[in-house]
Amino acid sequence: MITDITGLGTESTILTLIPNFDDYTVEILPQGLVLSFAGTPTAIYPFEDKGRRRISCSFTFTNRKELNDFIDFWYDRKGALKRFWIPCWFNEFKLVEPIEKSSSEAKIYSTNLALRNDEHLRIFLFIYKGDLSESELIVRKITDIVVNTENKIETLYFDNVVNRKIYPQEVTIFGRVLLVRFGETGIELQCFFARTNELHVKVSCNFLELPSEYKEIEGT
Amino acid sequence: MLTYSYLFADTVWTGQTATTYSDYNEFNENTTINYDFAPLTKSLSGVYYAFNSLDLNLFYNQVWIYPNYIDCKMITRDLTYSVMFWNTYFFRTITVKDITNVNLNNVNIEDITNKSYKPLYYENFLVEVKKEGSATVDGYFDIETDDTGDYSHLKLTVRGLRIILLPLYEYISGELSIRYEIPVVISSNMFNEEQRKVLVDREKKNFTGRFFIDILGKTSLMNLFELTGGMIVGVPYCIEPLTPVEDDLQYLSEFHVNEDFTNYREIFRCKYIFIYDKEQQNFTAEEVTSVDATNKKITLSESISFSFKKKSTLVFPMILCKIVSINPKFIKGKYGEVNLELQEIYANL
Repeated sequence: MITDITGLGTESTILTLIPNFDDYTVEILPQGLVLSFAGTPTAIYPFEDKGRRRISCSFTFTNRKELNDFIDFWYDRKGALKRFWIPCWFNEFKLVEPIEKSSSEAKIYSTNLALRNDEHLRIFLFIYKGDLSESELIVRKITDIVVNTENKIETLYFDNVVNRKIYPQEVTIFGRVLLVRFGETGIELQCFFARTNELHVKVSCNFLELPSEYKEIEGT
Repeated sequence: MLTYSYLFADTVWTGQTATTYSDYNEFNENTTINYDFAPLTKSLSGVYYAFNSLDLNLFYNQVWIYPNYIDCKMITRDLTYSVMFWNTYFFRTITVKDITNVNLNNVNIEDITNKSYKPLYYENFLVEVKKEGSATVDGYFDIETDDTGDYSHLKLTVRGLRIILLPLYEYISGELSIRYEIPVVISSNMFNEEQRKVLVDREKKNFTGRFFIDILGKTSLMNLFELTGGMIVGVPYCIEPLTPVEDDLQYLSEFHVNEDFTNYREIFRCKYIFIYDKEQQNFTAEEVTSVDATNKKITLSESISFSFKKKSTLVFPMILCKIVSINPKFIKGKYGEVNLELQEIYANL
């Protein structure tokens, strides 16, 4: 896969493995605190105004190197301890018009993304060309969002220009890149045996979005 | 005690490098440091020189049990050890009065009760550690003698961990899951931000699978049911099979494999390998000394005792596990299926 990634910030690790799309689930976990006191109405105290996504998915490996690379990646993240980025392979946005070469803005049909706009918002454009090795993944940080309520269009401003013209019809997936950690239940390898030394392993795992930056406590 | 070796360097007694045993296993927090001095040769001239050494009683005028610590490490088959009883008194005969087994399950000692050892006389006796028995071997033999001094009670310590080897290679396709986990504590601070801390900076694996039992055989399977309480099992890490180059692995302490190690992971982490000959229904676990990726060579601490033919043998990294659950789905004659759940344990053997 050809990647063009900028704007990930201090945590620059990104997992760009393509998951099994027939086994890909995105859940939104609502955040908030509900308190009830006797004799008073229920009060809701929002301590986090953003939902949190949990992605459950699997990857299939047919060679040992890729499998070990993935296990090593998980091990390097110390399981659920350390954060990293992943594309949320969920088509969320649609381009209104092409993104011009050397442009750093994209017009999309409104999804109220501006409401979520904070310093952590990143997007990706995945352009599939029939062969993964020729396909492209472009990642940018969003620096600003301008809303045109009349036309229901949002203009996204990127931290960096794109290096080529991108047509709406060639974009396979246009979604968000999430800062996540692995789920604390670890990763699960389901092994299929065909012949000796022939490997077919399906790795299931889940990722939990981290809505705000924080510092994990290193070490034991 | 190392100094002893030096002291005796001018005699014909040859000293063996002191050995340190430590961090025995996770079931026993005690750390044992044990130094032994090993006499390898002896002669009458040795006695003459020893008289001239600085402190005669450092070595002579004692009763030696060597070794007085037997570290079996992993017990997967019956083990026999030869232990030396040596009377280094010059003029006193020592007689064994009694032997008491303290906390050693299914460990036998040759009966040397009432046996007399003349001055400067040594003789070996046998200690047998059976593969069946409690999971942990951790105890000692108290050997009582008629010595009136410090050597009326001699202690021979035996330690080890009994492991059941399970050749869980023929899992039913798609039915084996291996879960990797690193225990992490997750809490929230006052701003509801996650705080995380790893408990053990090392992965643990859980195995859940269904496998055919014809490879184990019915007897082995029934034994397994009887022995599961607290027992540790050694299973092959079936994702990384290796095939030997040599025609037969018997008597070899190093062998080559056909596979390129560059894409292997667990083989470099494991302490033991699991060797499995499917045709001969034979398997063993061997301690790995080194894995040479350049020459595709595995070196073992000891040579392999049994025959493992190239054409039907597979070599795997071995994982030590405890059995979480075992559930036979169907047993008819020798054939059937078993659901099994295992959890990796860390044991420094």
